[in-house]
Amino acid sequence: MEGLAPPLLCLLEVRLSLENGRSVNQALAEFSSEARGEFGDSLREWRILYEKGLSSQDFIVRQKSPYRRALLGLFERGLRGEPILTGLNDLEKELVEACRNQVELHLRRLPILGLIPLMLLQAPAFLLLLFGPILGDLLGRLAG
Amino acid sequence: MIVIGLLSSVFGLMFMIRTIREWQDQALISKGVLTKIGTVYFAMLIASHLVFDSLVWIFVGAFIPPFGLSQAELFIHSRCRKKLCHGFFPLIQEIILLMKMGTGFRSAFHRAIGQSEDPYFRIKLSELMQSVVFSQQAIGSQQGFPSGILGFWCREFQKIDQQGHRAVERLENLRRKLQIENDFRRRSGQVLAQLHLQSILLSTLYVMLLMFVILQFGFLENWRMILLSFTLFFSGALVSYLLGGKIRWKV
Repeated sequence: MEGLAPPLLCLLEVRLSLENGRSVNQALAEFSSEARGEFGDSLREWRILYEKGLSSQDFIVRQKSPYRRALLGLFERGLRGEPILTGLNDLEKELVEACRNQVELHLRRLPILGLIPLMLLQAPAFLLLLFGPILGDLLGRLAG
Repeated sequence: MIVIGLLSSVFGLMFMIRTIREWQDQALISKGVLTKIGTVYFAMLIASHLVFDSLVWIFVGAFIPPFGLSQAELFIHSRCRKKLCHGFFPLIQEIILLMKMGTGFRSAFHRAIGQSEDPYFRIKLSELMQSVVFSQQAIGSQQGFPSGILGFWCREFQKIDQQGHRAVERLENLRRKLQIENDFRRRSGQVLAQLHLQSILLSTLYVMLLMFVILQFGFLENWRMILLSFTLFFSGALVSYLLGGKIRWKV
């Protein structure tokens, strides 16, 4: 399991780059060139739309997660030249909290989900080994 | 046969010494552990000569341990890389504290390296410091660490070293980023640890039961039942493993 959610990782990397004196465009270019997975693809698609002057707003609105919508909105403002560092800091707190909640929920669900393969597959495997040879022997004797 | 046995032992010993020396140079594991490995191997060599008459066992005793050790190097390197990742947070803490007491970045870095207890980490940090200090001088075509975790830290430390002002704030931002990453890795690591432990315990019990059934009732007489049981168990283990895999972030 990876450690950080992709939007949170993106926010942290971009914020670090901004604090090191880079522009939003440079920070996003560096991150999106290395990002993998669904979020990386979305980010690259959004950047292409924005750079071509196409309807990046529609793309942002289509994002399922409100945090991703807020993050892309912030990046758009940053690309237009507006200061976004305070916004990034505030969004970071929200994102961290949301990620923490999701991990806690996942942790609570996992023992219950883990019972499914245990009861349906592994327990029968154990029972088969325990009683299979004895039952086979018994049936053999009854038939004979 | 005695001569062949002795020769193979000598070659095996040379192979083992070479592997141990390489590990010692890279500081992959401590000297004490390396001495113990060497002693155990030597005892095994003597035992294989005294206990077994067959040349096969002497070959096995001479060559299998050093071969196994050389294969274990990948695992050891992976373990050292993990230690490296975890080691940067205390390093940053130390540097920040020293800089807040008035020390410059390079002196603070040098002193923080000296505080580190792990020899492997100290060697890597020393190489990192050289890359930072000599970053502006063209020494060779591939100076420093172009990629990976060390590459990232090399670039960050170079920026901090080159732009002296706001160095402490930059380090504090780096520390905050590390703190968040470590926090999530620790929490998500709990999930994997639970699943792995459950899986290992169940698998151990299953293997023991399987061995008992095979020894007690025979394999050929019950091969269909054993195959079905193994398939069910393996499928269950696979599903458990996939369940606890990567979290699908909805954020």
